[in-house]
Amino acid sequence: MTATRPRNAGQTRADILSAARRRFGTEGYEGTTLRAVAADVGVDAALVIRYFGSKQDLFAAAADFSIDLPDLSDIDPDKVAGILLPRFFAVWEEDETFLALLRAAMTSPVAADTLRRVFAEQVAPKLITATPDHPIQRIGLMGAFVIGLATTRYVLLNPPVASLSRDELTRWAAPVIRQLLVGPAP
Amino acid sequence: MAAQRSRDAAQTRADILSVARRRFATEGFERTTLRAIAADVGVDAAMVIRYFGSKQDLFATATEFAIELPDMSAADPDDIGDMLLPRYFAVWEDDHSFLALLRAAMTSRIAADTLNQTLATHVAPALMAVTPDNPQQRIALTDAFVIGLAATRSILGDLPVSGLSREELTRWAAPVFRQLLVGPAPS
Repeated sequence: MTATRPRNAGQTRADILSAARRRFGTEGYEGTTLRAVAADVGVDAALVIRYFGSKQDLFAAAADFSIDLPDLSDIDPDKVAGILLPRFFAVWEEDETFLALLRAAMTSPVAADTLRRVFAEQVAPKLITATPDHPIQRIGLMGAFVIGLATTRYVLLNPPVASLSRDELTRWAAPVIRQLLVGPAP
Repeated sequence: MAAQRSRDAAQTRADILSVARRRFATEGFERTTLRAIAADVGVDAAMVIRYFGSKQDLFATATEFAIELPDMSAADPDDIGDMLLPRYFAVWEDDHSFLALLRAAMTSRIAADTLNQTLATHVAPALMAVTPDNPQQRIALTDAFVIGLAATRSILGDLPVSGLSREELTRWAAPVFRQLLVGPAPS
């Protein structure tokens, strides 16, 4: 019996995180309660608190994700978009953490703060390695473009962008990414 | 007295719209109730219904944003950014309706459809005049860029792009508008 307990605890933690992402993603940070997350999993709110602490702590754990971007300093400018976009697709499409964070960040300062930290710690330092000059302008607009694409394609589901294949979107977005990160400064 | 009363009615309508934008933006469409909006203004829910109809009607009115885009048909490709951005700034920095709609659209299908529909009817026709091909893709990708700029400058807080002046942002965004709207289509 003791052998199954750690696995169950691990599974319960995973279930709580998954339910939390769904709730934060659909109802926003303010609208989500620990009680509702606990009910989704079939446990007591006290258990959620014991495992994760406050709502803010649970959010931090549920929205914690890593995006693995390579160093771009020696990359051919024509290849930058082709290297970055598959990493972005992986984050956007292969787990629900980023979209939950994005949805929550638009309606909650706590979540917006988490999103800014991910950008500052994981995205900006790598994008800067590609930029020949004006790093703030270049990564600032690049961040806007990426967030705009993710919002339009996965949250708003605006048909002309949502229905593009990864390949098609890559071909449309590549010249923009190239221009923003390494193109001539205006 | 009649003049006083009608001014009060206009003020009440304005107060209801302003509270509605705040509620829809922070709590989303589904969780916002007419009763909560009425309570914030200090009126009865029946009055909100009398003025605006259902919750969905109120939402439509509260988030209806006006955007005036110029005639782009003879636009020089290099001028497109300069022509468009001042109009966009007016919508997302000087008017609360668009940001309320965008925030609500993040957690509500109804709000997201309203936003998509508004872009298709109010923004797409003007942009259509400059697109040489693939108008739907070009326009929707341009909308995506604009939404990203609005979100990173006016909703998500202190990101690198929030510190740029309008002039500086316009200079950096112009080549993107040019590429998306009139640049070479992918082969």
